[in-house]
Amino acid sequence: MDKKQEAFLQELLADFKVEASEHHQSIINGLLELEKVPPTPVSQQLIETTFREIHSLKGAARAVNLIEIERLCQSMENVFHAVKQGSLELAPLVFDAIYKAVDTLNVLLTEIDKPEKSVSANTLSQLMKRLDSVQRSNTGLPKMTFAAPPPPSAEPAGGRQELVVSPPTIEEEIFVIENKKDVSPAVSLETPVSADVQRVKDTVRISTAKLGKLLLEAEEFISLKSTLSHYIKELNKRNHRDQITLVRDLKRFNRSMSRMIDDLLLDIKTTLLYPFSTLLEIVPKIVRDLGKEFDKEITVVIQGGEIEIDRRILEELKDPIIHLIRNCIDHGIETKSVREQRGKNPVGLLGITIRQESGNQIELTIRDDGAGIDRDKLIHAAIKMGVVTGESINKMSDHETNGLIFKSGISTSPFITDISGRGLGMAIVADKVSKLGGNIAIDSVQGKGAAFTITLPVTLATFRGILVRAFSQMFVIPTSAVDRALRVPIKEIRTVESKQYITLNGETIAMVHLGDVLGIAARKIKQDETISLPMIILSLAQKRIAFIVDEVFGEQEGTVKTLGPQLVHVRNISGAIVLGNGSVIPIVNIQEIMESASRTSGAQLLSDSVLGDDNADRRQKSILVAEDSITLRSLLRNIIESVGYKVKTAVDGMEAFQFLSEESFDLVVSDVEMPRMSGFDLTARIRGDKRFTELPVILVTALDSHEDRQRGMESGANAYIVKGSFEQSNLIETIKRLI
Amino acid sequence: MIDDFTILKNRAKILAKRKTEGDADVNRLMIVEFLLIPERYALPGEAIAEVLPLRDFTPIPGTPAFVVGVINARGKIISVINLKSFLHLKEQGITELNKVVILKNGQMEFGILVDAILGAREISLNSLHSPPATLEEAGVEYIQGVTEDGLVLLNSTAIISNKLLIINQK
Repeated sequence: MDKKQEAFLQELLADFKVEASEHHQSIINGLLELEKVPPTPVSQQLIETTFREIHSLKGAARAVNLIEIERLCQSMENVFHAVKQGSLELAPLVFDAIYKAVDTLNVLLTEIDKPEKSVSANTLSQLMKRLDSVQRSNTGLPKMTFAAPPPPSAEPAGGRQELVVSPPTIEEEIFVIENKKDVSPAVSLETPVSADVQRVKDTVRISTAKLGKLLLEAEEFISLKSTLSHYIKELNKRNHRDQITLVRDLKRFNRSMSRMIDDLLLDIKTTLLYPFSTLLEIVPKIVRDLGKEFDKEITVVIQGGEIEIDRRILEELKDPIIHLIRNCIDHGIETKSVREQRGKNPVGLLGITIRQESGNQIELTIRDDGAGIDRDKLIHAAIKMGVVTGESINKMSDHETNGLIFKSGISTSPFITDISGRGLGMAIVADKVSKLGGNIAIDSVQGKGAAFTITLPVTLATFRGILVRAFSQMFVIPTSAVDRALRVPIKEIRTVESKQYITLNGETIAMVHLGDVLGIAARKIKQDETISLPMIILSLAQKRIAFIVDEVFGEQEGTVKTLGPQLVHVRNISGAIVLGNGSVIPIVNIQEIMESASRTSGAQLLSDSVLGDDNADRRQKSILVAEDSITLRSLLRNIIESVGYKVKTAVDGMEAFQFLSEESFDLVVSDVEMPRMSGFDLTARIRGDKRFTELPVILVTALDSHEDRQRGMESGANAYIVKGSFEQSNLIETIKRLI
Repeated sequence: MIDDFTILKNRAKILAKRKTEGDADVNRLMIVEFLLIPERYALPGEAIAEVLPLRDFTPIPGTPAFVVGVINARGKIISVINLKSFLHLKEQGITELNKVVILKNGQMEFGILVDAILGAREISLNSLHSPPATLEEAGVEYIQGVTEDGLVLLNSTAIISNKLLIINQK
């Protein structure tokens, strides 16, 4: 029974939290509006609404036994009551006291579940006393006590007070009892009431029409099941219709299935859209508070709040937006006196504009008409932090220097305040935005103001990435960060201070090899003036770097997966996707790869003088490795590639022989025990073929008996290496001796 | 004549009978024995989620040498480590290492590479010896004991919950 009771209380508390935050926001909205409008019938209406909100919050708090919140609301209510009665004017002093109370209320609300409270009983009673004195300030008439009773203070006062307060208490109690009756049957129906209550409450309102459409779309999937079984049956038939027809049908099936999946996904995503206004409603209050703190007067203009975006993006955007706003107020907008000196409107302007650029792209701009970015200060800070050198600054455009603001550790603020000065904020903002698949740019005119523009996808898109190969490994680069993919002739690559650059549309872009940055063992390529290299230009927070890759395969869609609990965070890799064939491809972490690239000293494969190198001649030689164990296959590949040979691998003798007839190799390294065709059989077949009489074969085997050696030699192998005594140098020497 | 059902029932009875020799249940442990050439090792069966053949893996750049890479186990990505290099066991020559033993507890899950699975059986914990001095370099904390016939029983908790295994380069 006790447990049930507790679960019920928990349920109530969860309800309260949702309700309270709504009331709290409405109170703030009311106050902000009230501050703007002169006393008119309109403001009377606002006063009434705000009063109601405070009153409801008080009642709700009492229902769940949150006495402190209830009492604070009571004090606020008293003030509003006086205002309503016309006995108190909403002077700035009154607003300040109320705002202070609203802030404390917020702290109390967020700390409901925490055992330790940051608001002491003393702070609270001070606050209530202040509200109390504010309420009396305009009138000073004792009769006010009757019109609006003072709150019960921490030390219970006279009985009369109690009496005045008690009627609503009873009214509230009745409400609670009714509420209980309403709620309890529902509680028993709901599955475990636990810590997840809060999550359960996180709901999305969705129209039945939309839901109906979703159901229809989902139902269409049933047909996929039967169609697919039909094709499987068809494929199983020995004398199936001719293959071309079947392939054509399957292609058609694939097309319609893709469309069905995409439609359903799109419609489900639209149920997750929320207007920006739900996030931006907190902005006026923040601006007001900060403006007050810094003695700056600021007007906020928000445009496009009705534009909708994925609520998950909206949630993630909260911190970056608040940070940018704080930045505008702290660094951007000047104090009144400075603004007057500069001949500007003493009231600063903070504009937030949201525009839907295209179907799936939204542009959010936060603009101020303040001082703009102080270029010299920023450059100075950047040089001091060692992010750039004095010489490289001279080569940078204004656009590029402005981009320095996104570098971690750079702050132009001489004072470290709780708002800014630590220089971490902008780097974090850029990181968050890039994780959402967006990008951020800054435009600043010194003395006139700055504008931060964030471009975002409307929905958290299915992950899309460009599949590339760097040396022998495949990677996926998130498409959102790819500026462009192109081929650049080697002769257009310039080297400055051992770093490589390319010039694109007049812009100088640093160039590195993706494999070098990732630290994959490099396979050097021959420097040939005539060839061109494929590269991907990545851009993040106004910085662009060209990454050389060895092959670009095109775009890939998929679900991002983690690397598992053992690999919590691997530098430069943010996760992996699984391709249709089941292979796992690591995803490049843009933020980190850009940082790592800045530290990598140029593309090694080009800086080495290849010509005249002892290895140069060997580079053309290619070796075929046949081995069924994937571990050994990649080990052998790495060993042989590391000395500069080209390697192709086969999973068994059969595949190896097939490769041999398709292209030419200089040597074969083969395991002995393999499915389908053993190493002995492969060797025998090679020797039996006129084309390969001269082709050297090295057998690598676990078998270490005299007979096996004998058999190996009889089959025609040139060398025989035993796995148990295998040494890297041994294999390489043997290869070198044979070719 | 005895019907099939009775025969089966009697068989079940015999099978269900506890072995009288040896110790009480608490001292017996089901183990899975595997080969890491040239040694035989074992892990408690309860620590092993499954065994998969290693068909393909993806190396992850920037990870320590003992991390072989990641595999796709029915749509889930699992990292695979080379126990030999993690435990600094002596490596001699090259071996196939083409089986993955997936170890799992509440928080952790990863695979270890082995050369072959030799089977599962029950052993008596009382029969375990302390590891010989030659094995101590590998770290005694990872070894629960050695059986009469020289099988090294690894301490699964010490391996799975090992903080050194976790790669967090943040």
